[in-house]
Amino acid sequence: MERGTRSRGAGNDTVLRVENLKTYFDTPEGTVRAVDGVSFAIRRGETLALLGESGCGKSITALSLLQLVPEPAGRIVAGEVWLGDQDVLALSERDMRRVRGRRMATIFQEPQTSLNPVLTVGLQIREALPDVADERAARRRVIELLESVGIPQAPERYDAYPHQLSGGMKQRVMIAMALAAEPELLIADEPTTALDVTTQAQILKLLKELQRQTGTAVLLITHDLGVVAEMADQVAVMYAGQIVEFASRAAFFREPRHPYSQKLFRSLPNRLKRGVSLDVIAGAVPRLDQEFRGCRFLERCDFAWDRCRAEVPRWLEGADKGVRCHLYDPPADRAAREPGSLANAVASEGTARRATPERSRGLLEVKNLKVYFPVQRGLLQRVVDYVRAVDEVSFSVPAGRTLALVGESGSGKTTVGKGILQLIRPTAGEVLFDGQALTRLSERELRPLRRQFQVIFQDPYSSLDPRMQVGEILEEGMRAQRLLGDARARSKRAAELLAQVGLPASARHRYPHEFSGGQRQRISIARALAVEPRLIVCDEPTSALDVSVQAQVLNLLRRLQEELGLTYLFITHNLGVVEYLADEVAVMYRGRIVEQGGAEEVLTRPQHSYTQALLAAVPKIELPAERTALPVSGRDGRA
Amino acid sequence: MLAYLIRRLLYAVPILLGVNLLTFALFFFVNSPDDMARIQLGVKRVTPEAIAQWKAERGYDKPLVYNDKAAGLQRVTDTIFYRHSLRLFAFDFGRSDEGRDIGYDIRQRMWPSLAIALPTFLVGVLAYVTFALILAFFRGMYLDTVGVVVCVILMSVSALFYVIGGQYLASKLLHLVPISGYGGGVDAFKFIVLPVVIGVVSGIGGNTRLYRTFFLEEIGKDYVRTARAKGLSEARVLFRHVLKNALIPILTGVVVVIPLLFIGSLIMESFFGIPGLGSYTIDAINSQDFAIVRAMVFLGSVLYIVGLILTDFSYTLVDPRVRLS
Repeated sequence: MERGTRSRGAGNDTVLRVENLKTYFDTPEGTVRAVDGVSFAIRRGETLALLGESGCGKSITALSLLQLVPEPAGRIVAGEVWLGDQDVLALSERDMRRVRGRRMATIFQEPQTSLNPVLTVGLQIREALPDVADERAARRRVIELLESVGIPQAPERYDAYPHQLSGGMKQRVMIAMALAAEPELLIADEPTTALDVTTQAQILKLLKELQRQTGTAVLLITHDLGVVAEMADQVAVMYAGQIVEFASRAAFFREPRHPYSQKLFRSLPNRLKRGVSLDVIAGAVPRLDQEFRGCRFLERCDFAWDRCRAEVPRWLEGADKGVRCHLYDPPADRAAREPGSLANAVASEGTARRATPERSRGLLEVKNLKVYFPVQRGLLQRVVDYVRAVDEVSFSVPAGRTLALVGESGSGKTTVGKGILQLIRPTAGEVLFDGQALTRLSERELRPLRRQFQVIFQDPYSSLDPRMQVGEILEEGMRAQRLLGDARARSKRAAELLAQVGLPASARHRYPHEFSGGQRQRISIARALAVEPRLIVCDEPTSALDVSVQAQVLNLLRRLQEELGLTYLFITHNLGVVEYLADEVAVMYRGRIVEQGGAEEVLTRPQHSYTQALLAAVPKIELPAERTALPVSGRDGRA
Repeated sequence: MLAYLIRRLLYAVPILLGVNLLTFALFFFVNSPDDMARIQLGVKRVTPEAIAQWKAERGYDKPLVYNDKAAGLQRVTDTIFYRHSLRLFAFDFGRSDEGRDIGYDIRQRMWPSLAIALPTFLVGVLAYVTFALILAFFRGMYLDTVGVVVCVILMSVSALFYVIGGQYLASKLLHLVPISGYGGGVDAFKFIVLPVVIGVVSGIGGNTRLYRTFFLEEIGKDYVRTARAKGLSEARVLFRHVLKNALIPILTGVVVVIPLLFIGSLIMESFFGIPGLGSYTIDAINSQDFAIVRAMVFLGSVLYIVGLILTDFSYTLVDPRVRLS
């Protein structure tokens, strides 16, 4: 780890150069061009962020570099991957093994599953060490590595199993493993996506620090603009298997050029966009099993014109930047295209802020809520202690307003949600819904009341019954609450609900797996709305979704609140969402609320040290000025 | 850890009690002592006196659970339940309806059973895991496809066919080993080989396919990708990373049968004329000797419960997540 950085200087020594990489998958539906002609280069000590949404091919690009594309479906059909002066795609599997781990190491997204659960942490790092003869030297080296990634009591941790470490610690172990052989290139595939924001900040800091020490080049794969802002030197935006824009970080954040990049920024929720609909990227990523005759972003682009339909956009290379868009191609007859249309579209959605509700009494009032879980030990399983998951939590949500409950995983925010819905019976305290103490009601007395408070869960993939058609899912609640007498009326209502959330009525006869994540979350929302609730507990409703889809769901929730006067308890760890949507914020830490108040107040002038730490940990995104949607000056886009 | 084990053992007590009660109900309520006597003595020419005598000889003339003619503690102890069912807990199996000492028989007969079942089990597990690993190694390739097809064919053939076919081939045609029978000492080997081979072969199809799925499931997991990204060889990935994890589901099915090896296999033993507990049970069923059948049902249940406890215990050895929580 003692390699100096000074001697290298900022030379132009390219570590990795990828040329026209193509990775295809053979599926029963045809050949999917997951990676379709990707080229980029990374220099020593530099971080290139490969930014894109799920399914754009960024992870497959990384696996292609390592030649670890899932076989036999996937295959690299063309391209070159030069690591130093070696084309690694030309290497045999045997020689490739000497490249993996030693010259190109990887950190994967999910530290929970990326470590072998039955082997000790030390052993797993030790495996990544190249040729160590002496067992004791190897152990010393592993402990050194553990120390270098900031794991306390490293000698004892050597014999720990992964499950004994926290998520952040596991990711540190992954980093130690990746750095064991001092690789020239480190591929970090969504290294912090599964982590809390404060842990993310630590891990990103560690990565930067280690990179400074070792001069490793980093290929950072992420969907998170915040992480890009924090880490990257260069940014490559990927869309539908291709890189559509390349720029330095500063240039990218100052002025994203590709319409898709611009959309990504515009779909991010934040304080400035309160009360305004977020810009959404309409439609979906095109199927990659087709031949493209025009631009891949065509269907979703606000600027598309005839040429985009007829001609595949070229890669327009500038000095240290590039873009794949006809807008920047000189012969474009851009005169007809008015760049103002995007801004107008946003403005026309209306900027009306919600009217302040007249009622002051909370629709939902939580008083000294406690949820304890017993800890049982010993032969007779006696209760020796309690886990205070929720301890003395009090707040109130006025009707028609949104309270955001913010905190990291394990802080007890989901348990509060369940405690309110009486899905867990609280240990102590009161939950008053419209003045009625839910905590004192029996299961039976609760049932008719349940229609008034509904819930939307985080994971739209597992929260809908896969064996039920969407129509049945929507009607089940109505039937249970005996809302509409006959099946006809229910079915009609289901169609209305689907229309309300922007899905066709024909969706009733389909199964959840036929829908995308965003659509499923719309179904979840429709299901909650089916019984006409007054309060909806939204438990991380967008954290499993891509930013552009998140924008759609947030817009929908906001619109429904305006139309139906719904009250939201919004459980989230995403502060951007809070800024955008919440009227009030309660910050939870270890089962207690450490700070609460108006959203503006708490987020701009945090009082509690934890809130301050939480806000400081959020990567800052300098938003590009909303003014330019297009390079009106026109001169910086030429090839 | 110790507390965990003790707790598991304590859980077994009510289960065994339940098993005992159920066996008792099955053999004495559903099928009354009178019925037993009639079956044993021949249904047609049986007199009430003969039945009474038959029952008295075997102690079946007592009341089932409560003796109101006796005094004090005897009211409970001088009953069929106490004498015939509760004593099973002390492994006191009593006498068979023919008058033989069941305990003695079991002690004698478990050795031939073990001599067949144990090698079948050991060789089998080793063979299935090996074959499954080979198929997993060549997954998606020609060999794997062929292997799976062969497995399905082997699975589809009845175990009886293997027995009869094996006997015909190895004994009748090739004269390698005797068709059936059993001998002590060195002699035992030639009697054991054929049943063991057939036992292993008849299980190959199903088990190899099952273990192969376990391996493939593990191979698809993220930590395997991590191991590969480290530059480990495929063999090392399979043996070090995959095998250890796949052992967890494999153990579930394997450890539980270990105690049951003592009572052998009904089919194999009766076909090969092995004087083990399997053929003992079959014979008892054929001759309607309820005392033996009852004893074997109870013994089987006890061993099964022991097997379940062993399985839980074996998890703690291979899975560190269980070990420490």
